[in-house]
Amino acid sequence: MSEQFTECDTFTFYLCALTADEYIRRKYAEAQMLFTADQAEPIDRVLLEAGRRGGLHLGSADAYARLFRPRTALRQKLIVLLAILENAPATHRYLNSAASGGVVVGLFRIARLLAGTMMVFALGLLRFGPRHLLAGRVAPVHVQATDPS
Amino acid sequence: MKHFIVVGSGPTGVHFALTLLKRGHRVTMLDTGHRRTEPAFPDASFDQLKDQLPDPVSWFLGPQFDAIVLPGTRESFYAFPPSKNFVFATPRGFSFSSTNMQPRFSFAQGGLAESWTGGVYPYTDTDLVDYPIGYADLKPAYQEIARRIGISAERDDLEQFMPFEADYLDPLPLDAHSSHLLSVYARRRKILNRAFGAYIGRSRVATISRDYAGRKACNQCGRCLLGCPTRSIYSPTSTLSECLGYTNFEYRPGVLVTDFSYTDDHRLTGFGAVSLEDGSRLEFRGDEYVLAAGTLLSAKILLDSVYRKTGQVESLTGLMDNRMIHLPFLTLAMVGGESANAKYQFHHLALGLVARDPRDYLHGQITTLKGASVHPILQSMPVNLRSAVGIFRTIRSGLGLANVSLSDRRRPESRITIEPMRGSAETKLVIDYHADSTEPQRIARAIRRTKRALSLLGAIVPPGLTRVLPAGGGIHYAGTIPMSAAKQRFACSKDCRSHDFRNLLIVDGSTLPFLPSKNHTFTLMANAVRAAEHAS
Repeated sequence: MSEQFTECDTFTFYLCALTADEYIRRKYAEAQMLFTADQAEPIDRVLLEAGRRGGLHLGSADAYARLFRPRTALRQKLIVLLAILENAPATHRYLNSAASGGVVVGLFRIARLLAGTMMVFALGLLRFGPRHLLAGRVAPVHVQATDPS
Repeated sequence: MKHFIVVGSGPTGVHFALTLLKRGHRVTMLDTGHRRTEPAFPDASFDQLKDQLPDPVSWFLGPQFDAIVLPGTRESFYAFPPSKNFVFATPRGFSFSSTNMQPRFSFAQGGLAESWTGGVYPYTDTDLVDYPIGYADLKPAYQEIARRIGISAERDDLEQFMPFEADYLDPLPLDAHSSHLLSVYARRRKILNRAFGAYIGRSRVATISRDYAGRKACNQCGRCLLGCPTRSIYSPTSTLSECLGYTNFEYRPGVLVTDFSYTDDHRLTGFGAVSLEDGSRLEFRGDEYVLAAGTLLSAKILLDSVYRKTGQVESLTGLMDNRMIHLPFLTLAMVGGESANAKYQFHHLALGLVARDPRDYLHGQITTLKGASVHPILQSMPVNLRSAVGIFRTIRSGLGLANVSLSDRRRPESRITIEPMRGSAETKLVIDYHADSTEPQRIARAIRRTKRALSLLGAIVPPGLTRVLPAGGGIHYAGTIPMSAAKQRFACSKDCRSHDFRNLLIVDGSTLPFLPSKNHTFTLMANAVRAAEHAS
């Protein structure tokens, strides 16, 4: 259980830079019992193990998974936790509020975030791409609905 | 004084009943009647609710976390929360199969209107071209419904597509994003109107801007999608409460109507039903019988009745639904603005796109983002989740959704039938829907035109995020027992009296011979009033 709490704490800090309280940990543990995550391939375990280390490891594993392994255990756990955080008293205001400051500041912030995104994605590609490729499984997966236009 | 037996407590059933009660008739309403639970902390806003509930995660996501949208799920951008589960709960034993459609059924008190977003748009003569009635026939009933339910609206450019009635209330206060879009429209009106045939105005909504008819004015709590805690958004249950004030009204919940019995000369003698409490068989007798259970369920009752009497499995053709298209957009000028969770959550603006064939007129509603379930949006962004959170918080004040719907026509291949179940007297409802062959082109054109209109308003539609909802997702079912001037099988007169059964009226969406792009609920309610006036 303590391993699961640590995982919850690490992921919570990654998602909203806040600390998970007992309620969030409990709901996360309850949710884990209900969702069976996809760990069919070795890459799923690699991504999850990297993610549990937090920081850039987690950021790069998440970025890589978003494009090449969107249904992997790591992404599923993060999304389940995100759904919990957006409703939990300790964290919902952060996720349900806007980072205001005006158009210019906003666009600058987006540019900075996109630069960071590119960096963690490149890191993820270098770190997980070869291992995934060796397993013969790498292919971008499109999860969005089609736009007929 | 006649005794009417009405099946269903949705928008048509309650307004049909109220009209008759006011004229002194006796009405018995039969209803399965799943009820919503009383809203928790009715004075709390969307954000405050999360602070005050003892277990907000279970309340918002469900005890089994059913409301979580996992990767790869093709959910709508706004799914129904667990608090709305009662609307779609089906009684034990009800079964159906469906081809090319994902239908929704409601056995709730108030019917499918318990999950509506309150859009009320009258049909014009152009919309009613295939009907044996015109706008003049419906106008007094539209006015009556406006007086009963309270409609907030404003005169604007959309008036040419939807007549404005004098009985409307003042519009709701606009949120900052909608206000911005409307001001840009005012500046670019000429080009939008002339070059793109695009018109924008205020949504007309059955949400009251001041205390009205015993209901409280919208307090901007931002809990619309969860179920309005103050009943400011109209629900048929408000009219049902009004009906309950009449001594000549009897409401029978906990009853599932299965069929009607009729004589050889096609006169109904009673509605057959099952008690949901103990499974016993019940029969209800009156002078006139009224189907108001919604297009799909009324069809099942009629088909089961014919099957029980004759052994014949019949079909009702012409099933229609409005195909819905969701286009999320970002208004660049609103990036970096404040968020507004405690605001009316549904659409403030409506969009009209004219077409060469008036029946292809496109109607849309524009909803700016307020309090919402954010994880489905975040996980769909093509970046890691941490960046997605940061980007989303920066752009959320500029996010919105245009919801455009296509009109639909009756086609013989879109039909409803039943399938007898082996070893049982029960039948399964079978729905077979076939979209019109030009639909892909119509969808593509609708997306292209909406994107152009939004771009002129300074909003971009991110590539790949537009979603065409599956058929059935519109929940605007219609057309299976249409009004028809000529007497024909499985149709009804212009006053909604069945051509096949002498003392049977059908007053729900089944009777519409054409489904315009506009939301049909206002017309359904008005038509039920009109039918009741003729029946009494």
